[in-house]
Amino acid sequence: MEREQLWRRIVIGGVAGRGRIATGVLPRAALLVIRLAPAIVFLAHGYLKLLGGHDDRTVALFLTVDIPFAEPVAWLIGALELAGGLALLSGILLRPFALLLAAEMAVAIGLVRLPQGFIGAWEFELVLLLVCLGLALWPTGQGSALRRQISP
Amino acid sequence: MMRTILIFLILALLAPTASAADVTAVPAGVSTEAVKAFRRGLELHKAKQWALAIPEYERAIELGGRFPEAFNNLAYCYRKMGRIEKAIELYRIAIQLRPTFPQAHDYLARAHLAKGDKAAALSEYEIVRRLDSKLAHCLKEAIARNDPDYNDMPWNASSSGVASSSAA
Repeated sequence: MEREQLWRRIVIGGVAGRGRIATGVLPRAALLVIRLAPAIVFLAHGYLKLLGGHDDRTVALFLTVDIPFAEPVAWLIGALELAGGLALLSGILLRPFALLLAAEMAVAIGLVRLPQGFIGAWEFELVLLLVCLGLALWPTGQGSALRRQISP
Repeated sequence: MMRTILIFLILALLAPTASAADVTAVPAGVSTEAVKAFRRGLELHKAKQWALAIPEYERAIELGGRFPEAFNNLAYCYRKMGRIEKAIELYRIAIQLRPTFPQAHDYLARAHLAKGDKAAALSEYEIVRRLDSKLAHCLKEAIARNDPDYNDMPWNASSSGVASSSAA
């Protein structure tokens, strides 16, 4: 409970309540917006990888950076992004998927983006990584759109 | 209302992305001096004056133009001058900067072929065929003939995207 209150003071309280524990519509809406940003990105990229004709491009990328079993891994990554996007959007299985997506972004930075520089390259993956990591660390229940209550 | 905004955002993100860049393109944010040097390099490149094009491309890179097209074209000139190892090194930088750059993979395959490394050329072909089927077709023929210069896309070749329109 103390941990939960600390989170609220840091994250929600700082935004809406000047250190007081914030409840009500605003914190929930803010959290929804934070989840929505990576959800849209991952849904779009997952869709493109699985169904939108970018499967070959993804396999080519994986072959270029020497990822073994490039074709099945490309399919898995597409599925992860699509399912992860849905999880971020709905709040169902939010934390495990947020953690997996954060890990994916860490690998993408390390294997692909790092040599390309920060500005215009791995800055975007870093934002996604940190947002997903934050959502993965969020106290159970509060990230979910299905949980309507933020208990006092 | 929320649903409409969501659908709009998702559709906007799903809109087709720009196709692979050609070898004459300059990305935004590159300094004017670097762009000028790169364009001078392109003109000499088009005239097949490899030895003169090299310093211009190198100058473009020195001036901050660290973009894949500059490394790719510089590598091309080195390859045409027979400096295959140097070309391979530069193609690899171009590919690091843009891993899905079809022309750089195509030319890297040809550089491997010129070096006599057919296995490496075939491995690059596997990447090219997933990025650009027309380039892959030409590359496959070059590998089959063991001739790195066979169908090595000339300037103005419409199928390769190696257009000269933006070079002027």
